[in-house]
Amino acid sequence: MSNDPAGEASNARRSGVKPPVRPLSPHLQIWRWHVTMLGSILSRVTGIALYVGAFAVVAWLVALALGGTWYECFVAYAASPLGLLVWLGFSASGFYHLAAGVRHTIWDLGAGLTPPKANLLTHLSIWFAVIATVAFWAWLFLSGKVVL
Amino acid sequence: MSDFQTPAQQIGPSKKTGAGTWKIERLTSVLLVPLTLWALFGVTQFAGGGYEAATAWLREPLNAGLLLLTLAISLWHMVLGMNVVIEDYVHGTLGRLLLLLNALAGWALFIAGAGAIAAVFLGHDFGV
Repeated sequence: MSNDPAGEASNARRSGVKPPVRPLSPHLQIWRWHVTMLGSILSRVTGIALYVGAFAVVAWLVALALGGTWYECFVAYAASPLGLLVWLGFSASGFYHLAAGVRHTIWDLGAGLTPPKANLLTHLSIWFAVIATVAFWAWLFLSGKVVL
Repeated sequence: MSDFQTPAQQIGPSKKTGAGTWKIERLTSVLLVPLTLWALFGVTQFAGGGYEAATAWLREPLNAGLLLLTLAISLWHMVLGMNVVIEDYVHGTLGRLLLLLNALAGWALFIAGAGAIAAVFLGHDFGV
């Protein structure tokens, strides 16, 4: 919201000096779409999804602690088609956020910051999430641990 | 161009808690890589086994300990992440209120989750 991260306007107000007029940084509408933008947005969206999912995980723990009757009740919802869809979204968000976190750590170390490498890392993190989610659920269904 | 440069004395590391928060965000992020992979593996160990399989799994000391650690670090990471989202989009009093609610949600989830892990691990029966 503020175009004044260094707080110059308020400093200038106090000292009575007019702040310099600075150029605005280009905003969303001016950028060509690129995959690192999608990667960043997905990272935030999946983070928020995981936040919501944490309530479901804690509900699972509390149901387990309350005993068998409560647990069966929780599982009845959690293992319903809608419940499984929620867990599918939760695990997909987890796999993506995990890969995005690794990608971000690589960038934080100062590596992979050229556009081709940054794009490649972002593509890899998205594909990792897709493949890991499909593999995880395929295994859960094929081993009979989860049935629809 | 120099007109548009921020004066050097106005930039530099945060004098408050900024750098510490940055470090905790990275530290929790790196710790969560092995912990979440372990948790997913854990899910495959009791999925479909009902109440008995889930309690048996959580009564293993290693599982209870690692799950408690995963819960605590996840919640810490999650609250810090949501703080950034709130700070980006919501300003003023409402923003401050949401930051407070976020912290409270984190603590509430930790107390409920850690209490539940401890109860299952110690075999406490709530009789409900």
